[in-house]
Amino acid sequence: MSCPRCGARLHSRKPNSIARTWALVIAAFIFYIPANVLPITNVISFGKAQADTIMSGVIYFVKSGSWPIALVIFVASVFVPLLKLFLLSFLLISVQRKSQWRPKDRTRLYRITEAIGRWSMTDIYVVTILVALVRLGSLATIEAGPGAIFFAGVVIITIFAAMSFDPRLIWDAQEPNNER
Amino acid sequence: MNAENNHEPDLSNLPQAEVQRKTQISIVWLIPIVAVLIGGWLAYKGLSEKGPMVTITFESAEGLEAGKTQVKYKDVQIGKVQTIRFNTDLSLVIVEVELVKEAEPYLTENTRFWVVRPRVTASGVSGLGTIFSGAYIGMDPGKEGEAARDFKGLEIPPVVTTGMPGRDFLLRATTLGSLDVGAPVYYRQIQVGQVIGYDLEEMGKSLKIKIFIDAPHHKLVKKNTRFWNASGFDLKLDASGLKLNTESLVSIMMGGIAFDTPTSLEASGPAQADQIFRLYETRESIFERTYTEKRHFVLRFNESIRGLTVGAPVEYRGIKIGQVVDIKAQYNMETVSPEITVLIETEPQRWETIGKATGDDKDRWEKQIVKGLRAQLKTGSLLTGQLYVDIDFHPDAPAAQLKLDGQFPEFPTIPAPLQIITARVNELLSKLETVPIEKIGKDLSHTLENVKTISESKELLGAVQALNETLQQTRQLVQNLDSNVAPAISSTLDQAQKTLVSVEGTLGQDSPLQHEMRQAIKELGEAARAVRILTDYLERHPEALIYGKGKAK
Repeated sequence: MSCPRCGARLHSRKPNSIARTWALVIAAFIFYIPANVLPITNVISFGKAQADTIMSGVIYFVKSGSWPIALVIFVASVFVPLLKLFLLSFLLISVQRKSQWRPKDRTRLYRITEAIGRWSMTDIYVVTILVALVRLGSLATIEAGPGAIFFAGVVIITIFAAMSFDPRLIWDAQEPNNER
Repeated sequence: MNAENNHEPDLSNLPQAEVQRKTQISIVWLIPIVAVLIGGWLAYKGLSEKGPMVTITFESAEGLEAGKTQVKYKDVQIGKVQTIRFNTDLSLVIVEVELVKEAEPYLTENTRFWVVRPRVTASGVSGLGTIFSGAYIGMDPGKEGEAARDFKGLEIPPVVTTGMPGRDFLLRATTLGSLDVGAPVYYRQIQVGQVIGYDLEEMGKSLKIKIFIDAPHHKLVKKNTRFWNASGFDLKLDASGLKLNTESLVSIMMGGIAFDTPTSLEASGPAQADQIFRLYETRESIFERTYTEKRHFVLRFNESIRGLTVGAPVEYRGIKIGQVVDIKAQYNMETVSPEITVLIETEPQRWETIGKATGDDKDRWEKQIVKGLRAQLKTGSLLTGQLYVDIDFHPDAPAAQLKLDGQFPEFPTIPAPLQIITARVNELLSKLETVPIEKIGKDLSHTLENVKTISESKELLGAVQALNETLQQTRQLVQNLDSNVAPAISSTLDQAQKTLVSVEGTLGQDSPLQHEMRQAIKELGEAARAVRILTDYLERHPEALIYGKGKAK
């Protein structure tokens, strides 16, 4: 069935929701590894290059006593993406197993996932702003590392994954007669 | 846009839904596949590019930071310090470095690592970039040798790295002077190399200096090449004027080494691989050969040694055989006399020996001293009054011998020739001074004048003529005597002889005249005795003349 105006194909539900979401979640998981292993920023200060991964940045802030900043970075860059991926995986698995377990809470989890996903991009914003701002020639320069690309990839893919997941699937299991 | 939400009133015109069954795998799966590919590629790259881990030991880790400090070769990063730790006794720092894979074949026992820090030397500033970037570890790959993973880091960066064409040489010196690593090496005032290191030798008696001479100049170093310290400048003031010698401005500031191959009788040819050259103090000293064997002698002089300095040559007939080592004024408490003692060293190796040796060294010296070998002070230069010690044979010198009682054998000396002459001339002059030459001269001239007047007078001429006549007359007289008087004399003599014979007969021993004479003399003697008795008596008894004899009794 397609739209009489634009000819776009019409779906009763989000098409292929589970498979798409799985694919994106798996891709996000894979990208999550280089995003954390590879340096996200290259700070070149006084000719001294220093590459920092997300975790090394967190550790640096912890060591220097800036607990709040460390917490913000950790939550936004490490905890939230991972939480999202695990939540999505949990939802997918529960849907596939036609779980009857607290569909209302699970729907709420999905809403949270969708809501917090974009906040992970703060890290990328910080990096891009720093790269743009700190251009002091030989005194100090910040460059985005390869980790930033992967990290951005993780965030974007998880956003898409959250979008491609159809929360109605959670409720399908409550109605045994209703086949999608 | 779901179909359920379409609540249009007219449903008759609705197209029939075409349900399409999805058989193919969703294109979405490409995303994780791509992700896997990228991840896999990254993992493969990471693993395949993982280079060798090496450990380098340093005295200190100044400027090194784990995870940050880079390892560079020709300023290209080839590795990174991973960890820094201590060895077991905390004496050294062990730096673990991960290098790129390409560096693996160059990690041999000859590979060198050092820390590049800012260094300011007179020859230049290096490592300036490290002020901002921090220190890094420099690497000099070693192409040959066995593969190695543990290295000892150099504390001083090497000046010469592998691959530089040329050769290094070892010099032995007593002092370093103002030399330092990087000091230039000159050949005819062209810089051909530099000092790459120095080290004290065992026992600390001398030090070894390692220099590197760039190709093709390293071929200029021959077996008999002389190296000398060209540090600073050489100012010399002598009879020929003021002379300033220096290699270059840099060498004034930080010293340098120069070399040359003098023309000599020594064997030439390319330098040996393990040859150690001596570093001479000055350019002049390179022309002296080095002699390790020394023999010391003490000389005692009673004359002024003004002009004799330590280092003055000891010569035998104009050939240097040694030098003065020490000069001392000594006071002999036994003889209560000041003495000047000069210590000389001779270098027997200066002599080329011919023939077989007999007896020991002392014997040979003593034999020569018996032959008249003596030391003597001589003036080397009349201008400067520099003295030197001359050893030569003086067969008419007073006998002497080698004195062996002191620390060093004492070699007999004779006074300087100039001094002998001076002494004699002085003596002569003082004698001459006492002679009244003026008076003698006056008298002499007076006499001569008188003689002149006499000789020129007419009286003398007349006298001479008269004398001449007298002589002629005398001759005539003699002739007359000869012809007339001589026969008469002859007969007279005959007569006289006859007379004498008769006299002899008369006066003979048994002649009566003699007998009578004896008698008469006897009578005379008795008479004389009687007279004496009479006089004695008279002296005692003068009254006897009047009263007669015996009355006084």
